[in-house]
Amino acid sequence: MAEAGRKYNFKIVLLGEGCVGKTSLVLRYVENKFNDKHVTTLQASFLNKKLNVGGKRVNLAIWDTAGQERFHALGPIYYRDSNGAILVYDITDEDSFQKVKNWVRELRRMLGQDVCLCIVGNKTDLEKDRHVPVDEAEAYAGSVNAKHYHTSAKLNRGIEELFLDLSKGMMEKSESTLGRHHSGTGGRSGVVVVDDEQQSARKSGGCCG
Amino acid sequence: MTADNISSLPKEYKQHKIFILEQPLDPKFKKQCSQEGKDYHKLLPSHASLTEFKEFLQSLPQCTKVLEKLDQGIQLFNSNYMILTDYLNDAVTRLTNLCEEGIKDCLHKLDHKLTSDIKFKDILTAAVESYVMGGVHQKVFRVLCQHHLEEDKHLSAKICQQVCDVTPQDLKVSPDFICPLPNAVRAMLELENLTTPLEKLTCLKSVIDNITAGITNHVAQKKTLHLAISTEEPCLTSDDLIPLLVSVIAQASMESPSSCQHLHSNISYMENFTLASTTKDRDELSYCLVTFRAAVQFIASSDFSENSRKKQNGVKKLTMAKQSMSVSDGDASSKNGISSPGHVLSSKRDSPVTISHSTTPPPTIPSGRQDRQRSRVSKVLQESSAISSPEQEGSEMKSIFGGKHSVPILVNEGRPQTQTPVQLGDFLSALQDDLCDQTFGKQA
Repeated sequence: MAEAGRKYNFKIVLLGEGCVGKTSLVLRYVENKFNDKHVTTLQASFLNKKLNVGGKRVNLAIWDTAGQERFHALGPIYYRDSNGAILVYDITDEDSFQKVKNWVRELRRMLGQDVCLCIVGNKTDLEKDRHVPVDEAEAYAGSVNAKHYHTSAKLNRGIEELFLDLSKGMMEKSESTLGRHHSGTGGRSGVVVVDDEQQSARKSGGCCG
Repeated sequence: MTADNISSLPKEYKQHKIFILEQPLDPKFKKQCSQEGKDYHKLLPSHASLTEFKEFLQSLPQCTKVLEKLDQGIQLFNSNYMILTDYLNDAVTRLTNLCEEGIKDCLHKLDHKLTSDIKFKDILTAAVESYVMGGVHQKVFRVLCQHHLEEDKHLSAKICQQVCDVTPQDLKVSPDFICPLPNAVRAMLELENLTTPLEKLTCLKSVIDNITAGITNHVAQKKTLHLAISTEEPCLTSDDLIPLLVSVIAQASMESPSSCQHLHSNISYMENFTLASTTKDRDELSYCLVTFRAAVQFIASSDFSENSRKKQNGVKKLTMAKQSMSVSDGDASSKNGISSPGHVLSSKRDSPVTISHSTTPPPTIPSGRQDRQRSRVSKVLQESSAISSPEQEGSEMKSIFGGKHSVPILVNEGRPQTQTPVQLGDFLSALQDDLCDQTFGKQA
């Protein structure tokens, strides 16, 4: 297969406390570029997004995890095998930032350096109520080898950039780890690279090869 | 299009002509598309059953030899191989090799034009895998059940004793999403009877799809009835999906206790024995499995004894729980309806200050004690008939429920239909008894 026909499949988990806006973040991202029929969908816990990054097709499977404290112990079930994690906090809520720190620690312990981490300060539209200093958040992100972003799901700020950067990061990571994991039937390798996508073979798609 | 994409294009302006053809120019390809297409295009790799896959494989005359070889492999595995639970990986590797070999042989035998179609390949992969897993299912699943015996026993006992009458309210599901989900429960009941991991995964997906669909309908209905929804655009997130799934598992266990007998074994079976790497992690199936696992783990690790104790303490609580299962709308108001009459009536005598709380004016100067009593009873009855109005809505919901149950896919079609009126009857009588009891009790 030609390099351009390659398709990356990445799994991204969204982690963060209950009301930090994880769901609105991902809905804003996925729906804005989707047609109208998707908007009516209630289901927001698993969403797909297809991208084209530098001529390479990328499929993002975005898993929204449960944010309530009582489900915290279920985290590992969700983030297992993920290529990227988006850790969301609310810039007006110091406590949610502490939760992010806990998640980072846990993810690094369980998944090591193979996972791309993005720390996201959401709700920048409420800048005047900010309780998490920008410097502190960015310094922390740097210290754990994660990237830091500011977003506002309400105003659609910074979200596109976040997912694009994360995709690029995951692509780089998968290039470097693909060699190591190349053969693997037991246990999933870092990324699933599929030659072509299923949907292209709808009616006449398969015939042009 | 991303900015990257644009910048990767050549800088200088060049004109291109692109032809898009409806049909391939080469007649050979044309023939392939039209003739072979109908054989497999209707099959979906993630939705077909074992028998459909078997029929599909048997419909390929070139593959007869391959199937014979597969049968031999399956037979060998069943008779000579001993599965050790500590070395499950070895069993998985053997079966994967068997599948891969089978797929390779099939592709080798088949027409190149056909096998170059990705969709065909996907279906073939899923079909061979289903064929193999269908053949070894009994042996493999028995070993897994043995391995998870204690866990499964413990869990199913817990579900049947503590979780079965836990309501979505108890599980703190958002009030917008509390509605009966009969289709999801019905899909859940199927899980135990299915054979291949792929079928079971598809079943889980259909459980979750049915939850989503049920709730989508419910929310839409609420919107058309202009009933209050707490948020403008409610979304179903994992925070609600997990407890909803827990309640579906619980309801399924009430219908048939055997449906929750091997939950851990089933999870392990689906996790380990989904062999074809293409379907393994790519799509929603794995998300459904993970959510299911999360729900099962939530059941296993949470303490529901508090809930069930509360239930046993009062019949009233139980009837309310039943009501909330059947009555989707206005549950909060009906709860108030139940608790307020008694409260108001009892307090009326003790302290005149609280009279202002009662909305219906007390009967004008009741003469004797008996009269007072009578008027109170009539008032309670009035109130109780007022409560039953949301209940009627509930029965409307149930009629949809019944209608859906008459869809012929169902195996145990009759049961829920007979159950419905019984439940309603129970509820109504319990409700009325309950209210009267309460008032008289307070008076004595």
